[in-house]
Amino acid sequence: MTNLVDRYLLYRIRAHQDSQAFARIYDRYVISIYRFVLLKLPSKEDAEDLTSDTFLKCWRYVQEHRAIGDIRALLYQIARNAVIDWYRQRAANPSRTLAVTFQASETSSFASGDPSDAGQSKAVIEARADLALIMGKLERLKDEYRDVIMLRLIDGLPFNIIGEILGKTTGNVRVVYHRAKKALDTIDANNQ
Amino acid sequence: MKRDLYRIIRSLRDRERGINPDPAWLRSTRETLLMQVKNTMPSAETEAIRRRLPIFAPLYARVMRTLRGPAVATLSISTVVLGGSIASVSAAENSIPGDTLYSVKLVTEQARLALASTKQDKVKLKAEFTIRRVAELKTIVSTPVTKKEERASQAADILKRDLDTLKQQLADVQEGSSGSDVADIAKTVDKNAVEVVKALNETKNELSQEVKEKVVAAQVQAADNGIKALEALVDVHADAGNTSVSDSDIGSSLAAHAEVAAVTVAATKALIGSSTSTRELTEDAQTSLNAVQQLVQDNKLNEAVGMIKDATAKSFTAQQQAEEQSLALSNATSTSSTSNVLTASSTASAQPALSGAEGSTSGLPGSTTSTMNGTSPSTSTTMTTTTKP
Repeated sequence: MTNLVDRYLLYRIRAHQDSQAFARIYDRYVISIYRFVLLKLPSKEDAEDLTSDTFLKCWRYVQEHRAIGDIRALLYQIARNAVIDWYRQRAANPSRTLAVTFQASETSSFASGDPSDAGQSKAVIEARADLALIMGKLERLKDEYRDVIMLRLIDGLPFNIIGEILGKTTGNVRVVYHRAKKALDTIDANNQ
Repeated sequence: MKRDLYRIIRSLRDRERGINPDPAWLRSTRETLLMQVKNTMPSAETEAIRRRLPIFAPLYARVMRTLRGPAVATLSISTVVLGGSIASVSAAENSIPGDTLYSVKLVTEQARLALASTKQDKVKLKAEFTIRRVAELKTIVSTPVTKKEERASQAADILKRDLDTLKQQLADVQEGSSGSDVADIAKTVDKNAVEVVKALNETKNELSQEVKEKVVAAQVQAADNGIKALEALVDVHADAGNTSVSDSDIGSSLAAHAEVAAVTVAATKALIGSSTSTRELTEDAQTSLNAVQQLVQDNKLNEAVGMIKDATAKSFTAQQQAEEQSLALSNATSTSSTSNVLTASSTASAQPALSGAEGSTSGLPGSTTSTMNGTSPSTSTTMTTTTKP
């Protein structure tokens, strides 16, 4: 059903140059993309920048008339690549890293005094701590397994979307997911 | 261990649900994004050109890309600066007295007046604004808003002021302009006056006595404006060299004024408890009105105008008297009997007390007589004649 709405909106954009349709897509997915990005980056500001970049890039894809299967998958794919690029750039330019981390602790809303914002920050910190715990457990998995587990369990995406994000068929993703869960079980068993 | 992991994953998903982006950021990003989207959207035309000229396509794209940055910047800045003001002003356009944005509406009107270059334009604008005041009054009366009386009284005050200015403008034009200019403006004022008086007749009955008096004062002012405009029209008409005012112009204006006076007379007759003097005044007005028709038929325009002036003045004075009496009556009924003579005397005694309590009330009859060139006796004299027998 959601897919049908997306397809209709995509059709509106392509056939009628309907900018409002793109705004609808933004409304539908901006929060989930923002959450997806926020946990993977050090600061709120970075997450905001990356999120708006993601939607802009998505628009360019649509404009360039490339084949698009599912707009939601495309958004996640772009966001995922943007996060990877972000860390790559940081690694290539260590002087910027310092500035960024410094900025992150300074400009993020911890010090801003807004109580609702502080509550948000608390949620973010806790979520990040959880994520770190999960990552600690997942790190011994193959990259392929980890991606599928994360997208399925944490971002709660359906298999066909994960398939599009990772460039696999839906059936393949399903298989990989079950193997990944089994692998997790073996790691657990070995630990104990 | 394994169960532990899934527990953490579940708690993470719960926590994620608590993380929400800043709504202000969400909105601003949406706007910028939409703007960029609209900017980069190829119109059907350019798309066709691109398809026809594939060689230029890369060049076109490059030029567009260099232009895009500054264009987006200018566009977004101007949207924020202008868009904001346009949005708030258009919101203000629908405001009524007592709203926060009402002052914005009035300031916008002042700005439009200041920007009008010719006298005709200024008068037309001012006339338009008086119609707006009337519409506001109607809105206040017909919609369930808070502080109805306060808002209505404010609107009536502003309306009276605007009508005053309109009269001033007409007088200014009459002094130093050519006949056709005067005719143009006088026609506007005349039409406006009739419209205002008629519209106010519909709304005023829904209001309390106090506010109603203010509205009637505005009506009197409007009727006076109309008569002044009519006189100006007749002056121009009398000037043999000027053809900008035709017989039919004067005729239709006279008919409109006669209708206004007739409606006022009818409204006054409908008021209960009118004293004999008021009734006489109403009859006089009616007689004058009948005379007007005869005079128009005989083509005695100047006399007809004089007569209609008389009729209008009388009809409004009668109405004001009737209003005041009904107000005094409602105040006095608890103490005095309903005998006719007693009512008249109690009205007369209530009169000074009322005018002492409220400055605006005492101003009403006086202003009417002065603007109407003394065609009708002042209220106080009619009162004494009533009590004599």
